[in-house]
Amino acid sequence: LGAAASAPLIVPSSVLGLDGAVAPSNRIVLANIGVGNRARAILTHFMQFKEIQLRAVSDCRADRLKSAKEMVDQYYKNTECQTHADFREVLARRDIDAVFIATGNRWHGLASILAAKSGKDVYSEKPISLTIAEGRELADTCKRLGTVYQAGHQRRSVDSYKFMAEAVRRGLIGKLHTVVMQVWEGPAIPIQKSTPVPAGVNYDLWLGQTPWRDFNPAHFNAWQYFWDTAEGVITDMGCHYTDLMQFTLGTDDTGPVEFEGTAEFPDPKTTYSETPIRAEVRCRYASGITAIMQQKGGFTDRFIRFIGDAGWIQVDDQTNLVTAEPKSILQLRPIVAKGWDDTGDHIGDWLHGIRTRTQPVANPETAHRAMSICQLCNLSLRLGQKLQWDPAREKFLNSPDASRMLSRARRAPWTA
Amino acid sequence: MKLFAQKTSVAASRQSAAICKNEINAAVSRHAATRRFVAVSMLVAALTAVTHQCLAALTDVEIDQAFTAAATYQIGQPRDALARIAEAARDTRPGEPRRAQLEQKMIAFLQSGATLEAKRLICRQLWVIGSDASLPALEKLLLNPDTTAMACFALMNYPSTAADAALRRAIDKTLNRAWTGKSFAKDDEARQQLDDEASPIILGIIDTLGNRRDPTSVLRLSQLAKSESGRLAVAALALDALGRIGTPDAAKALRAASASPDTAHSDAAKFALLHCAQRLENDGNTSDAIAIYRQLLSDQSAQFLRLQCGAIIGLANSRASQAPAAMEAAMKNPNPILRATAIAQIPKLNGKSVAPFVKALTSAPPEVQALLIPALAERGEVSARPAITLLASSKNPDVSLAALQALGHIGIARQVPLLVEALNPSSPPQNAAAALASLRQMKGDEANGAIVAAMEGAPTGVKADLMDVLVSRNAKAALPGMMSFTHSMDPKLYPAAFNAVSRLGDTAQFAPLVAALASLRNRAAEEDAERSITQFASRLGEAAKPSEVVLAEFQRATTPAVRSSLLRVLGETAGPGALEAVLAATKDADDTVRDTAVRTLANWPDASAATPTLALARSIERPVYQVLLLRGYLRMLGLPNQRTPEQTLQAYAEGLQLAKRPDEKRLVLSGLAAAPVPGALKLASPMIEDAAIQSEAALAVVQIIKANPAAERELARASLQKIAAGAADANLRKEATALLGRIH
Repeated sequence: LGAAASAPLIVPSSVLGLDGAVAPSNRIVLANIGVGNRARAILTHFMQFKEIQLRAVSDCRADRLKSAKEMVDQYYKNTECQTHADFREVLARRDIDAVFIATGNRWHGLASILAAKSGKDVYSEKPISLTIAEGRELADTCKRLGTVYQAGHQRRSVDSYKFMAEAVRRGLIGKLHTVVMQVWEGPAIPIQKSTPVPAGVNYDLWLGQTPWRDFNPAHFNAWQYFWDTAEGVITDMGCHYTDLMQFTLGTDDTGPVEFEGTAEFPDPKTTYSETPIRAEVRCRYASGITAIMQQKGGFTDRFIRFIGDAGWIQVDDQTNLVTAEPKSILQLRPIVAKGWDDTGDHIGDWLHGIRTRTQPVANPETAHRAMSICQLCNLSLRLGQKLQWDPAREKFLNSPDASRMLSRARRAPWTA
Repeated sequence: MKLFAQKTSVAASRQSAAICKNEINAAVSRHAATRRFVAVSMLVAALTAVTHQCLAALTDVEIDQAFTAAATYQIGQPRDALARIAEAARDTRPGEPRRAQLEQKMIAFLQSGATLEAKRLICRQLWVIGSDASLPALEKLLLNPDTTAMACFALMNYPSTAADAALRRAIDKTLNRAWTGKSFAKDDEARQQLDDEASPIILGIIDTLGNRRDPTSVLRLSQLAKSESGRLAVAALALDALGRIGTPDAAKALRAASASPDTAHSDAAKFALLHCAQRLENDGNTSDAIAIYRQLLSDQSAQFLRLQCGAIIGLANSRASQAPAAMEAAMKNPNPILRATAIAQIPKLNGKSVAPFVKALTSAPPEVQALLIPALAERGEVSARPAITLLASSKNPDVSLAALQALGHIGIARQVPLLVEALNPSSPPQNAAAALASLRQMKGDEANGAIVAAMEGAPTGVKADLMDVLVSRNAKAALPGMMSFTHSMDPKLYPAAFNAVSRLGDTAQFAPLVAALASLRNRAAEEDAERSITQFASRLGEAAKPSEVVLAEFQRATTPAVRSSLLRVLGETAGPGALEAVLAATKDADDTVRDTAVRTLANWPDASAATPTLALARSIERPVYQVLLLRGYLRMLGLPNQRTPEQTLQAYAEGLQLAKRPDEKRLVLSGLAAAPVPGALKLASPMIEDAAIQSEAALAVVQIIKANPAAERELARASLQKIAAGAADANLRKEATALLGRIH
């Protein structure tokens, strides 16, 4: 159990030294959990904040752990970054105030819950949970313990998307009736022969709460496309867009009421992966607004578009390009340069939350609602059913089968 | 008779399946290259319904075959047999005989010698469709460490309480201890230590019972929660499960556990109690929840800080009458986390109870003021407005910044001067940014009037900022004020005014803005103003006839500077009459006007000016103008137009006659390559001999031939042979050789 009694004193910037250095009592000692590609891409965004001191990294893969330590040490020009093969050691450390979680999807929710229970504040990559129930558990845990949690839905902190949201809210495209979100086609992972677990990998920890399955490279290297360890592209990327949609509509505490879709799945004779290759799901809000999640096209073709009765506005995610009709909408946009790949402002928002004990912009409730829309899309595809959903009670109105898929048992000892 | 009916039904469904399979195959063939399977819910909703029916038509024999094939499944093998079983399961509904029949087959499968991986995937199906019928089979799986997790997975959401009973029995059997109804019976044979086999079983079951919120397991879990040697993980998880069950009985058990002398155990029980309170509150049992929060608030254990934070949050969330006092006390606590946590709950309080916090705004230390301000602003606490307004001038930078930000939420017109003052260049940049954001955010039309009034006497930079604010506030009433600034002499102010009016205005403002451009007394920044007018015209669209307005003003203009300025705008708006005016101006007596007109003509935005531009290029004397106009002409040939291919060829030929420099000839070649009209090859081919443009000519010729290999074959062959033999670029030589082959 946690270490909040030894947590640092977070005080306003008035106690900072005149040279801009951060007083020791104002530092946030950070540890990282999971140091794959995503973590390595944005660790420097954390370290650029003077009040953050990244003191430890953890990963169940020895090769990644080693290279992450080298990266952090190189940044700080010392050799002080500590390594942990098991993240639970990080959570047990009393000197760690907060964690940045960038594991595989299967661990995001549970590691966040365990971190919150250990008294740490959390910045977690998306998707934030494996099931709708886990998302609710995460939101409730953070609410109960006052954990300051920021999901990696950084587009909420990016000017292009903020402008798009503002344009829609101010009625510049007229009355909104449709939101279109496009993510890329998922791959079909071919069946491969099983091999021994690679040296330096703690495979049991890697699997975590997900059901045991013997090691296979097709799964290990493409876990995103299996129902047990992730839920495919709709959750993996779609949650960014559902989050923006919720943000724009001001529906952060609710969501659509109906889901229906079609999908094309991989051939079980030749492929091991399970999640859709192409799909389209239509969601309907009680207000009548339709949201269309479409999985098609290439990686760079992804976008979100809001369509109203007097025009539309769209952000192309790859380029951060905003387009609109009428074009005059764009004249209201201030000149901005940062895109989704700059997470600095989003991290800054989290640090502000830690200082003030207030929830950041992508807090657990909003993140859970955004994620649950994607999970509901997937459930409608998996079951081939039109699902009616009560977002207030988070219950299905018409499908006992779907109700049973709201949660999964976790494999011991990887429980919350 | 019954058998016959079944057979008929099977035959019918097989026929239906054959039809469906044909439809699927048609769909599959569209994606044949990808070799991907088109599953049930693909393509369109209408077809999906059919494909469901199709797959549901699997016969008993086919399903049995699938189970037989699935029994030997190992990872790394095709999984189609298991996929067929999954589809069959998905196509049944609760209560249907087909589902019950399928479940029976699954039960037999679980009891067979099938591989563990196959059984696990069958458990995944039972997770969704399982009924009480499969409980005995799953209960057996619970008792085996290799299969307990898959059984828990299946049982997670079984609707019947019989599943809970099965889980509880599995605990007793694993511990080898009988349950008396209130406690475990004493038994010498019982497992005192949980070994590696028993531990995952017990942990998995406890977790599942906790998540299922089984109230009947509270007593068992209370027993398991006792911190006995060798069972620490079990005890901790049992406490956690009691918290998740969250009933009054669970709370009672946790209260008892929280009195343990073992500090770690006691703390774990208290956190579980906090969880229990949240569950009680969510279930509507607020009074029990509040009682727990109050108990935890007075806790003095090592975890007091986190527990007190949790208790305060819980009290505030439950709108407990005790919440304000607890928060007020915490606000005065020296611990900054507890203090900040308490203050962060202020937005949840009701109206009257917030008074102590408003009062504290004036007396609290700065670090508390900086937290109180946003908390009160977030709840829109207007009673805090006077104090926050005063604090905007605080010497503490955190406090003044927080106050300026807060005024965006709760400020009114009266606070506008204060915010405008913060925009002053002498203010800290973060304060200016906050004030600007608040001015944009502040509600009410009265604020617009106050902003306009505040512009009087403000420095130029501030005026420009305020106009931008007014645009973002869509404050059309401010347009007259903005328009007055377009007549300013200040070259930093009037462009900002032009920009603001062009973004906010409508047709009524267009003519006055053009007139303002004509009447500028200081033209140092006239090009910025011209750009604003051009963008304004583009935004208004042709319906507003912007070029007519500009033309009328041009015709009224007398000075060369103004006429030149308006000519530039005409060159952007184009439209009827504009071209004629510009052409006339190319003969103007004034050098400046003439120069501007020629350049404007050369930059004309559409192809309508091509012919007069060429004519002028031919007749004009100054070489510089000849070059400008010829380049402009060649550029215009590439714009959308209504010419026939013959006319286009003629146009390029005329351009080529005038082209003297390699650059101009390159433009001709580039145009011909992009628009390979018949005859283009005749025009381009001779240029291969021109050493200065040989490479470009060769490239253009290759492109022209590629676009139409059948045309002018002899000339094409001869040209390609020259390129294949002598082009400097090896790739081009290769391409020419390949094209020669195609022509043959």
